[in-house]
Amino acid sequence: MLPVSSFRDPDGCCFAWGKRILRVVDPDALAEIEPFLASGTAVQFVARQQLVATRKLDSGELDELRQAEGFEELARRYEVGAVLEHERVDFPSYPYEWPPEMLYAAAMLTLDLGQACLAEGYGLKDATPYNVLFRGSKPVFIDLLSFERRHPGDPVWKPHAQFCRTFLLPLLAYKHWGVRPADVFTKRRDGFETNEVYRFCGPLRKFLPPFLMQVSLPTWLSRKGADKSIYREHILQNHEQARFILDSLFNRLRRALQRVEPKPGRRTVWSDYTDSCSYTEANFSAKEEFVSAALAEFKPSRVLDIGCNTGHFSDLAVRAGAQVVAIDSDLSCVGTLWRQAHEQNRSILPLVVDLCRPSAAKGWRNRECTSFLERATGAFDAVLMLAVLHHLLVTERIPLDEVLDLAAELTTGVLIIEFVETGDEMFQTIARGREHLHADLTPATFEAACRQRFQIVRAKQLDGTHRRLYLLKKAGPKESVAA
Amino acid sequence: MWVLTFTPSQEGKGLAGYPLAYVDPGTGQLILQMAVAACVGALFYLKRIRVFFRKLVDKWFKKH
Repeated sequence: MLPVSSFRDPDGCCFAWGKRILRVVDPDALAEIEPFLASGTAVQFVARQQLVATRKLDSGELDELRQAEGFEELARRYEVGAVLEHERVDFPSYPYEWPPEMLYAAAMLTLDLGQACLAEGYGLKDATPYNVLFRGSKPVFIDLLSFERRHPGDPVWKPHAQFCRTFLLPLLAYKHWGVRPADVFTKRRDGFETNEVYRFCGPLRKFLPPFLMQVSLPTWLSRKGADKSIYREHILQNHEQARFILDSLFNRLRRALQRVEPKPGRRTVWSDYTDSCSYTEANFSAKEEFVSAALAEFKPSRVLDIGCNTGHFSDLAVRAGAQVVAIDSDLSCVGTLWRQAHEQNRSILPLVVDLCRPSAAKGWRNRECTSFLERATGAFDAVLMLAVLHHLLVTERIPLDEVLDLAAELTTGVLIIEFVETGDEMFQTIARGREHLHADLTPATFEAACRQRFQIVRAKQLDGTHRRLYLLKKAGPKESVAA
Repeated sequence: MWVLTFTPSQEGKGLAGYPLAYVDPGTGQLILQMAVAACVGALFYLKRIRVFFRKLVDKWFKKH
């Protein structure tokens, strides 16, 4: 069967066919979704690139799809009213890879869409960060089947609890206890239950805002148990009143979200690296020129910046015309980079990913969310590894051959890498007396290892330092970048 | 103000064919949402009364 990545919704499923993202929709759901897609709200959000563009496959395309291997089995499991094709988001990412700032942006988009579609007689039937991907730094809502017709007299928003579990409570936990999105979403598909956050609270905090309304009261009320009648629909005769109640709920959620907005300024070991690092001004300029020249020469369309830190070199790649995915293990750096990219509308997708422990495949049968390496392999025509190799070799004890093998898998074109010799000040700082383990790490051995996988286009020694920059080109014919 | 209606007329659908819940609505959260909704629903009528009296006052001032 074709690999189905989204299957919980009874109205259809999402799957990949080659590079195309398709969605089977059952006939009843199609009758709901088509009018919504034609509505003013949907058109507006698609135009603003906040809702994924979608079209229906015509009969010819559907016939072709029916011939595809695996579709017949899929059609047996799901009633096919139509097949929709979604605009592909270049690099999917998941909430456990986001800094809190991106989770906040996804939450705001969910609320904006959830409230705006009320005017069309629709509502969201779920509210989870897995409905949102990021195109560069901009969030885009991708789950079209989340939209359903609402009874105009229904004043209750059923996904409210899921919104709290997956957006509000994780952001609250980050603000007060530094709990990262990765800590929440790596182990929990549906975020934090209120009773889990309740256990974090001390005796006084349980009675203080915002914990009283968002954590304590729901926990106490759920302990009492409830009559099943609360799960039934409660309809008001006055539709205007129902809408008033819903608008009030969305406005309250928006204010609650704003109170847990992640603030800039959390300092970490690496958050001011660019300011405090040991390069002289001349050497830093030389490094910039080397990278800029390489990018101008090869004109990559997709760049992966490993160990991006503040994103200075990701910026250079964007200015050279590339779309950039920038990864770093430092949450604060990634959050700051996202904030800047979002404000300046730069096509940089920053993710919290440790290359030595990248996100694994997750979900049912490890198929719902693909691993970072599966998404990244062959997806970039240039990879930057600046001031990161020595950390991999020394701190993480990854052999040089392994690092270069991975780099060769990630890039389809060029690798721009900074080699740091054992005499470098930072190398010695992180080695802490273990330099003998890297006695054979010399520029000659490094270059010999590179030549097994790459051609060395050029190299540059930074004056007065033990650092060299290398521009390496993948040996053999260049493979086309995954579109 | 509240009309409690439950119509399991179609499989997976509630009132007049509108879908039933899809995600876990959470017991405590749902109770709290409905309690707050009841209070806000009452405010809706207070707001209407306030708007009515404001229009009345504006009319009186215009006349005089």
